Amino acid sequence: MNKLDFLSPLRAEFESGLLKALTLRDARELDEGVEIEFSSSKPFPGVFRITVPLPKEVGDATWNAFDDTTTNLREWTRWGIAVPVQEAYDTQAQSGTMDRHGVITLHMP
Amino acid sequence: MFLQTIGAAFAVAVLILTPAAPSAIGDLASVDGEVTVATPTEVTVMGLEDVSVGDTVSVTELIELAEDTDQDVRAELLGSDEGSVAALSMAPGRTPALASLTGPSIKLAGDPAYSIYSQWWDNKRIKAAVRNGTGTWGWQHLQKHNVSLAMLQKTTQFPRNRDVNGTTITYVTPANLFTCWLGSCRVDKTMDVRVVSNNTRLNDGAPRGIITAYCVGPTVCPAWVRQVAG
Repeated sequence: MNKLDFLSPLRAEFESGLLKALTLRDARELDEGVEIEFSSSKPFPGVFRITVPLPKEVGDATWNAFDDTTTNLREWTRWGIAVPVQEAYDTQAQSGTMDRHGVITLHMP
Repeated sequence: MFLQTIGAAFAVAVLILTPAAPSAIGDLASVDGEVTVATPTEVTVMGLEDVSVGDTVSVTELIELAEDTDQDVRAELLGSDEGSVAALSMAPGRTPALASLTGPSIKLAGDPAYSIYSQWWDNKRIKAAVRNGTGTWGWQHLQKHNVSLAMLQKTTQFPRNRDVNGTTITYVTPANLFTCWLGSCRVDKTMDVRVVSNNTRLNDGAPRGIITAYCVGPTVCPAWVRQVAG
């Protein structure tokens, strides 16, 4: 379990932030990051899943790869999770692989 | 709305656009005061709102509409290579807002990722910038999506939507592909371009800048979108 709490700011992004046009269905932390499942009605209807890598601590390689100018967890979540998730949806929703449950897998852009 | 009567002001443009020696491709001519294109010619214009596939507009009006968004499509319609993208210079003026934001203390000097690739003003006179970045943000990242500098500049200067959420500015504007022939141009394709910028001011006075930009739909922007005129 990650000692940094990314789930709270992530949920906030879906509720009123950058991802408010998408509906969060599930978010759970895995060893390799956070697996996010969300749905959308437009412009690309469907259910989508993406795994986003998470930093273990502020300033590690994963943290710095997305924003080495902040130490704020909420701010990092914007650039390290919300923006890539929106980008993956916008550019892969039509080409992602659908599993037998109808969930389309997206990848980090 | 798109098929408005063309005013007398266009007469000047028509005179300018009539070439002394038309080229072989997409020749322009003036017939009864209207500019015509002899060969079907494709041209991309960004920033025109309320445009749908199948809409038509006169050649003269399209040239005027493109000029309104700093895009000179005359060279493309003439078939010459005069329409190359010109880098926008920073327009003179007052220092943009957001001066109250404190600049994070980062190691800008010597960090190639933070070198400014280009900067300009957006439609609200806020400084926009794109830095070299890395594979996850900035100019390097944008190359995955086949995004050009002209696309960034047009999207941020003539956005259909400009949303501010904290330090994030998201711009969206359509790119429209017209096919011009004889006196009219028809919209053949339209696609939104989205630009996401981090407006946090860094200690070199410029924002961290554009994090990502892409066409909404495909992973890689099609060539016709990239061909937007500067």
